[in-house]
Amino acid sequence: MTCKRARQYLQLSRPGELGSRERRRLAAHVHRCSACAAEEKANRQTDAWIAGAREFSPHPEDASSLTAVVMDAVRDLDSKRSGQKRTPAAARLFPHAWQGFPALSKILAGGVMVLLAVLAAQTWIVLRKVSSLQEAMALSGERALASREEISPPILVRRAVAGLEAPGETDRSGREWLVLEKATLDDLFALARHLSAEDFIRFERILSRIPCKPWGTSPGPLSEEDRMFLLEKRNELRIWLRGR
Amino acid sequence: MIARSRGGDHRAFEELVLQHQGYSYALAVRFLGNPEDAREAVQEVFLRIWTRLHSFDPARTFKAWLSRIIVNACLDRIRDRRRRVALPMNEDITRDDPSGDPKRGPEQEHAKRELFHLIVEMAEHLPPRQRAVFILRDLQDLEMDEIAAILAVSPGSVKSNLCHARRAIRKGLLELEQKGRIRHDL
Repeated sequence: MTCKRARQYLQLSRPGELGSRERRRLAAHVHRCSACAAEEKANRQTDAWIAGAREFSPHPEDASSLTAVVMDAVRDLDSKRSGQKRTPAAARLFPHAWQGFPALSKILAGGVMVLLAVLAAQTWIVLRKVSSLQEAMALSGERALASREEISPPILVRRAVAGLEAPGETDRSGREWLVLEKATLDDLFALARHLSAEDFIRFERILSRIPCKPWGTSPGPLSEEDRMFLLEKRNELRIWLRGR
Repeated sequence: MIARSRGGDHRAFEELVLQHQGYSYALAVRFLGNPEDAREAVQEVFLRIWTRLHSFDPARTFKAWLSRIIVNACLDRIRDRRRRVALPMNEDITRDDPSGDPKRGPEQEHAKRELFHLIVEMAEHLPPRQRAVFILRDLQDLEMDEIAAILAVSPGSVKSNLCHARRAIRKGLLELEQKGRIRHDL
């Protein structure tokens, strides 16, 4: 046995900690190794101190009150648990009425529940309506907007300008027509609201003569004068827009 | 008794606590060194047992299960609070035990109590597993296989931890003796 192993075994000095074979080998090693024998001697002293500490046990009186304290805590815990489970909703809602008139507090609690249910149902209906309206608005896109007037003037002008600058169409006799999309025409009418009353009437008159898809054609092509007027008003609208 | 306690029988559980309170308190004191802490720990342990009796495996002994819960609770307390093990000045953990040896003088009793606290304090600096093995074996006087069952480790691991723990404690005790804090004749 090496000294390293012997010093390990020396730590296991109490009965039952080492097997009989290990004990014999250790005893043989200690017998011929003075260093390990010295350590064994020192261990005997520390073993005595540890044994002395082991002799001390807490006073039994300190533990005797424990059962009562533990049982109080257990009962407290159980009553809290059962209280949480068993207290009726009526008693929690109307504790004072519950003490004197349990039936009344039950009726009151029932009424509160019905009221809450009705409120919840109404809220649900309103929310359903709002959500269906939102869905309709989202689905119809721009068409779902209440009117063209709700679209801001900058957008109207941009659209109308693009519509007026679109290439015209030439008929069989070689005449060029200014053909507008309905959306462009709508935009122009909406813009006309920002003109003076006199200009508005003329603007509207010209617009009513412009052929429009998909509604068919107007009685005849725009005159050069009408076309100039439209361009002029368009520029006015642009200037007005910049001023905003 | 355990089966009845499991069914929510307070009286059965009271008997169970009564039967194990002394052992539990002694073990907790040996870990914590402080009677107040030990009482708190034991109350906490028994409450925990009351709420978890359903998880007790009847294949094991109740004492081993209880000891394991106490050891864990005490180690948690030591780790959490990092308290120094010291007796309050006005509280004597041992008092005058009428069942004790009448030949012992009060001076020797006091010296031994100091020794107990010194050892518990030294044990606090050991790693948790070594501390548990040392206290269960050398202060609580449990058998090696009982300790292995409580800590759910092999007997070899118990021996190895005990070796390390004792070496450290012995070294500390010899140093204290050199400083004159321990009387050689105790």
